[in-house]
Amino acid sequence: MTTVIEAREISKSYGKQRALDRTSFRVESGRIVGLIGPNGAGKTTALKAILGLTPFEGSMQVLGRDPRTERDALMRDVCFIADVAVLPKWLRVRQALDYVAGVHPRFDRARAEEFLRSTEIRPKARVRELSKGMVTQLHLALILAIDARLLVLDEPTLGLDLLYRRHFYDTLLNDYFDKERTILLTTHQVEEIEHLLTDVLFIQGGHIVLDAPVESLGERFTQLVVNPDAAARARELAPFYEREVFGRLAMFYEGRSAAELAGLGEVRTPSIADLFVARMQGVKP
Amino acid sequence: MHTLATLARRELWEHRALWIVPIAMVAGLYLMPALFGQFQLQRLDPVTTEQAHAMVGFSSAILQMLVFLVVGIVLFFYLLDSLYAERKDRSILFWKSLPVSDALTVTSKLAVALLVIPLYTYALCIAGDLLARGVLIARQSAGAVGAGFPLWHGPTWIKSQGLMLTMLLASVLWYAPIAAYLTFVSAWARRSVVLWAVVPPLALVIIESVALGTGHVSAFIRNRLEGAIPHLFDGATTRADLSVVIERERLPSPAKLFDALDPSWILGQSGLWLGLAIAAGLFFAAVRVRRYRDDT
Repeated sequence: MTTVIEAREISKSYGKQRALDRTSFRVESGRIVGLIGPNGAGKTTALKAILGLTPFEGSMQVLGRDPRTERDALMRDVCFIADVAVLPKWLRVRQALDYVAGVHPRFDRARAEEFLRSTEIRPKARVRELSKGMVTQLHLALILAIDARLLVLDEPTLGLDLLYRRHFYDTLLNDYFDKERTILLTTHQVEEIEHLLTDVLFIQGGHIVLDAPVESLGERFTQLVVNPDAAARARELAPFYEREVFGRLAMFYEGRSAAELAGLGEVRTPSIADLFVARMQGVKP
Repeated sequence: MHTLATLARRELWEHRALWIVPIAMVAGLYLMPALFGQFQLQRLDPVTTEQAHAMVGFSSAILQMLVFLVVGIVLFFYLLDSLYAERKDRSILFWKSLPVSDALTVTSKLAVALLVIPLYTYALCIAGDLLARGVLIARQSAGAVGAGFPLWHGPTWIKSQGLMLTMLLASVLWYAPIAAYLTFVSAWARRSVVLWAVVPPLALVIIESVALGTGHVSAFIRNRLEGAIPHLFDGATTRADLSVVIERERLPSPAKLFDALDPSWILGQSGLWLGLAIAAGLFFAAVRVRRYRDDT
């Protein structure tokens, strides 16, 4: 396992707004990392810094290179799909393949064509004639055919219906991901991707507030659902967040064993989505 | 090289006017008149053969300059759009997701505007010129137009094309700073690229004339816009040397003009090199601006 991204105390401000504030994190190879945070938390800025699209302070190594000075070389090994990186409307499907084949040394055109054959996208079609879902499929076909080491996805499925979203992630997991590759992704639809993540990075106000492998979350965090009459006792165990669910209370604990809580109510492992809400609400910066 | 060729193709996919307009212009100016025009060349008799060759060569040169005038206007708008459209349609991050440097991207746009399209247009003009002459000679032998008027003279034709190519290449070098300026504006302006291209130079001219009462900027800009042609011949060459007289009118002779060309004189002019230095500066500025331009 090697380090793919190493960010040390990176900072970035837009005017007085600090998007990243001495943020540090590390991503290892062969992981699927979800960068999760509320709007304006610094997710997109962090991705832009990784991709060398924005200047910043601090030190950053992506695949051993500094994205600020070695971006051109870096982009041979890094791919990204962003909600804001749209394919131009005038481009034809065949031209898109010609173009990527012409500029990317690691593009396998046959593979992209094979993937496109399984869709309804015709080679002569222009991007403007395709639905949003099909444009994303085309983009995915281009990216999947590139033998890259790091794939960065920024809200890749925004605006797509459930079928396209499910298909997108299934394809990503089945046809693309392997132990040599690393995926870093952000999305608001946390529920849909939590089964595929291996690591989570919660970011808020430009700070990383949780950085953990998914398999460790069950040991570290516990959710307890209690009836109101047991609430006082449950609170004594210092939950970091609680909320009401259908007249009962869901309490979230860090570092409490299931055995400690078992007598009070129903003990569960919180979902990443629940944990995200709990963390964002519970810990005010 | 392969990458640059792909980038150039991409420009032609997006901006189809770049290759369609020259075809339409050549078809409209060379082929349509040759096919359907009624010429009464006999009326100009008597002319010597030399005069006739000069007339044909001159007409062909005028047609070619008209084609390039229109292509120049297309290129003006192309360059202004070249780095602006990708931000406007938000495709810039897609282009940037591929391993193509900003310098190569800007190079590809300038290469299309300053080399690919000019040489392509030049080749089309040659093809149009030859086709038109062929059609006219065929019509002539059928008795339809200008019987007996000499439409073809190999040495004059080659000299005319040599003159046009020299003028073209000199113009490319001469206009390079303007092209680079338009590219820079295209990379930099957030909106209204045409205004940003035109207003700052105009404002400079006005500010200079109001504040200092001088007109250096205006003279500089005018000199640049006039094009390279006034800078092709040294002052010692008189108009009489370069033209033929037909019915007391002086007609520039492409063959004589070609003979008078002196590459070392053309390349020895400081204005040309100053322009290229400015072009290089603006090129690096455009690359720099595109590197971190972020409108998303």
